[in-house]
Amino acid sequence: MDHIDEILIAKYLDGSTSIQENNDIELWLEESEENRQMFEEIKSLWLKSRGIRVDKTVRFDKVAAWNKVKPSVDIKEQRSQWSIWMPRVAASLIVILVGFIAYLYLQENPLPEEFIATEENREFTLPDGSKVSMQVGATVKYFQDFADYRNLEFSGLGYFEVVPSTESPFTINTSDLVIKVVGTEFYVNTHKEDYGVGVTSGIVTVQDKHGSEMFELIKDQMIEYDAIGKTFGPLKNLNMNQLYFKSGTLEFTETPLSEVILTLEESFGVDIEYLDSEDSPCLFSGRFNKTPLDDILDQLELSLNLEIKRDEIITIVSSKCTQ
Amino acid sequence: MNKELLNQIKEGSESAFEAVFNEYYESLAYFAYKYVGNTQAAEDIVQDIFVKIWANRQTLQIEQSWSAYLYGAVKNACLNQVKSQKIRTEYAAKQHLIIEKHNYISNEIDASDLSVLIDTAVYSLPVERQKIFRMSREEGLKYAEIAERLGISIKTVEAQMGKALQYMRSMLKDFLIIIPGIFLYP
Repeated sequence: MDHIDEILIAKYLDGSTSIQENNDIELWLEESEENRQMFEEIKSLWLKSRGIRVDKTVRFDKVAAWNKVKPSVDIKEQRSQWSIWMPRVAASLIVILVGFIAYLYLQENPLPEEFIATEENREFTLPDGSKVSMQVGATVKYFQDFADYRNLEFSGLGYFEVVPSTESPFTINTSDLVIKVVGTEFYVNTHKEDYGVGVTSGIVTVQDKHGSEMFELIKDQMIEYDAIGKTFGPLKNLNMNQLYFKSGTLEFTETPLSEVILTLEESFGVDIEYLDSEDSPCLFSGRFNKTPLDDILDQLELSLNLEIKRDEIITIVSSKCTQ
Repeated sequence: MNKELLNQIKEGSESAFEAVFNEYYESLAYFAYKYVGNTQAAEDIVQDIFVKIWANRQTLQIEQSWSAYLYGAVKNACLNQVKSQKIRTEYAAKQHLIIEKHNYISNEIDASDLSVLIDTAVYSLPVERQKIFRMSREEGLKYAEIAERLGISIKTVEAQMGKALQYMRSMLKDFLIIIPGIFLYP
């Protein structure tokens, strides 16, 4: 009798259950001591919460409080390296958080906790200890009961390091996909061009919300999703370049120039004008670690004999590749 | 989960510390308020505890859950606070807890804290869920009446009530280890 849960028990305590449901509950209670214990606990809460008087007018300003607690974090720990840009970050965080709190108070409905990497890449620890590294622009949203259900909404590009828990799976919802894991490391990208999921350790299940297609991904696998056609591409080997925002590393092995450019656009948030010439596909190999875009473009010019104009828009002027 | 965050804080992770703070601050402040009867004093107590946790993070020992640890620390600080003459008057007037009646005051969370904990758990529920829960438990309304008043389906009321009880049970479960039989206490 697996369907007996808090909801049915609460209904029973309200006296709103049917005769059939009452019988089910009684049978379920006979089944085990554990069931009885759960029932007694809920019943006890039900009875003891009768006549509670919650002071709902009392409100606490979590943001202001954090700002009082936080300075003791900064001063003791990382003054030297943080001192230059810390005030800017703190100021922008205050602006974001104050905005968010104001938004909270303006709404009557319960709102999720929402974190947005507005100005730079950001690492964020969730209430269960799992970490998410967010590329600038990424948003994570979850409700107050996150620690119980481990369910969140995500958009943008993020790398998740999920604390293992067999009793509580971790679920990420994007606009199109439901991604379920137990404890593992992987990225999720909801940007149109690179929509997909890639796994660096463990197992991840990805399901299409619009259909029933479901894939199980293991370490070093990725899958792309076409958000317009609502279809998955084939399973592929993981492309570590997706994690550039976290690793700072880009690696190309005999990669067509058109793909190299897409990766650079995504990694550096720039537009690059390029007309692909089908008769002479340019293939590029190279590895960059924390290399500025300009230096990468220099390398492309040299290796492929290109001419790249760097005005407001970056334009690849000639692409007669010599390889 | 518990250990993971603790280890991260010990290693100096501010974001892990912030996660614990975000998770517990408002509930703890409300819990403290129930003891000291003053929001400012309540906030000072809770903030002070977080400052101390960070300052002593390297030697931090948490054997029980975060919940049990934090609520215990807050109760302890509140009791110390109310011992001071200034607050004692306000406190006695509020009659949240009549200390004088007890010969022995425990600094740990015990069964006498249950009603405050239940109150805090309800306060910590998401707004709509709290509203529904209070209509049932404060006003004594049946699900059907709540559904009618709020113009929502009975199924929604049932689900919200179930989730509220589930949350409260999981929050109070953390205290079961230190107070066996908390749910059975009269």
